[in-house]
Amino acid sequence: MAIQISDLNYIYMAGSPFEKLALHDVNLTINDGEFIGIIGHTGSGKSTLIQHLNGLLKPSSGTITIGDTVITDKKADMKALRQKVGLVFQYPEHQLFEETVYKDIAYGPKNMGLSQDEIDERVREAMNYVGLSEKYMNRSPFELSGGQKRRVAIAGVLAMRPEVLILDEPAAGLDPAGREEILTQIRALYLERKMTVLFVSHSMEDVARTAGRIIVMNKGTVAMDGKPSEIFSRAKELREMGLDVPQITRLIDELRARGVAIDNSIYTLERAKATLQMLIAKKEKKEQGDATC
Amino acid sequence: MLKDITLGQYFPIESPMHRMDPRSKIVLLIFMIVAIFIADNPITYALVTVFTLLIILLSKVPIMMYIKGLKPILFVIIFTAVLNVFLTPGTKIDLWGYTTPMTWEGLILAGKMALRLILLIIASSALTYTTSPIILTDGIEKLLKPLSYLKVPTYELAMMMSIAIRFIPTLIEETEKITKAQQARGADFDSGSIFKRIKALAPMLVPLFVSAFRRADELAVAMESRCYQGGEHRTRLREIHFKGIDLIAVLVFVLFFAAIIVLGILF
Repeated sequence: MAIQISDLNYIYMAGSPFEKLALHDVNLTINDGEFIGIIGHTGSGKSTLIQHLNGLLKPSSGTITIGDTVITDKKADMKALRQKVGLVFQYPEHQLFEETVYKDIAYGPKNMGLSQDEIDERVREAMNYVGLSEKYMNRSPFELSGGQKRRVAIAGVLAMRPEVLILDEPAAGLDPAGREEILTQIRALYLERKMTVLFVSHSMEDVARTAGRIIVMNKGTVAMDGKPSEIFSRAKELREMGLDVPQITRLIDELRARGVAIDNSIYTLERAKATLQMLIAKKEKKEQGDATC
Repeated sequence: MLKDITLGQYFPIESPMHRMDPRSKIVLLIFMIVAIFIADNPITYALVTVFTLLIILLSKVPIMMYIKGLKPILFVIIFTAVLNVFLTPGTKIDLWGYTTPMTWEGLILAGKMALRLILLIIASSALTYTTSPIILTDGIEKLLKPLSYLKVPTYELAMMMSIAIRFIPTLIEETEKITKAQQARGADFDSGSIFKRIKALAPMLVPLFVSAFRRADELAVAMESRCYQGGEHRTRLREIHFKGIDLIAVLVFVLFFAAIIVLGILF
């Protein structure tokens, strides 16, 4: 499902002394099946932006079209829209409330008015997607570990089978292993279900590894939009926004500055490793060649 | 939504009233309420109204904020006014030749009561608009100090109050976040029968309570790990002082209060 945002403006607490222009002149086209990373400093408007995409916030002006629904239209069916656009909030485990994991995941599908069989199927499917084994089904969500709770919450959104999945900092506050797991699962989910995924993060590493396109938000508007290689080649601008490039890109830039002939569009650890190993092998070969002469 | 509740909200600007000692503001508010209730004739009513307008001006808070603050009690004002108009015995009002159950006395009483309620809310709002919650509880604690000789745990009471006040915005924010999260999962909070709506609140209330307990727990740990011990010998970051401006305010108020009493006796 494609998303079209044009001239979006949002004023927070309009008409009060705390009024703030949270978003201005946002224009974006998100195509079907893209995996997009949204990055930005705290207060850059990224969370505000994603809440517009399933109608939780209403734009002060501008239009948003999702699929063929114009959500700024007063008659738009918000409930139907929210099933198509699944939104996973930051720290989603804070929204768990049911007695069992099963019931909590079933909350969304139940609100959709599905049959018991359908609900059952979807709950099992969603648990499978996030890697929760069925033995957790009848446990209370409150006695699980932090990472498991988060997976239950994400499963709760997945069980609605959204066509667009939006995640706000899905890995925040997890340990490195939990982080890795969640990111891998999201990536796998994207490949398997062919969903459009929008993924908000402030970790350059996470975004660099997963996203095919990056949107950089700054001061309430879109500052950059492009492929990771394009975005990370503008390190100076990113730094001015209080952001940075992935650490590995910094290392590569440093090497280039010292005269090492190396590709400048490397932003993942895997590629950097491969490239550097190749360079080192080449050099060793050369040295060996020199020695035998 | 919840953010629109203005009663009890602090309005962070600079004004003579913001600079006053919270203790004098609290005590003066109590006497102001007394003055509003002893005003009983047109002249004294006019005087308290003018004085209230003066308070609004001195607080430098936009008058719209006060009007917004009146909204939640609009129903109470209208309800009491209607009851007064119909239930007060006296001369019946004739309308287009018909005798209605309304009375002139009732109408006047309703007007008086409505004015009193409005002035009361405005005066109380002026206190909370110009005093930050922390300073307000400091003031209350200082005023309650004499009670501690009667073994009333005034310090603990004040601490509880400031913690409660401190967490109101946090809990409001939390409520909104949870509401949104559940709405994203298709929750419907505002349709269906009353019973259905109450049931629909569980997905909101359970996480809210869970998080409130978690926060309380974290706060307790944070306080204990810094060796918190309430009560005596604790000093404050901001001491409150009775300043020149308070003296002026108190003198003006004493004159006003005396005028109310004298005018009340004379007319």
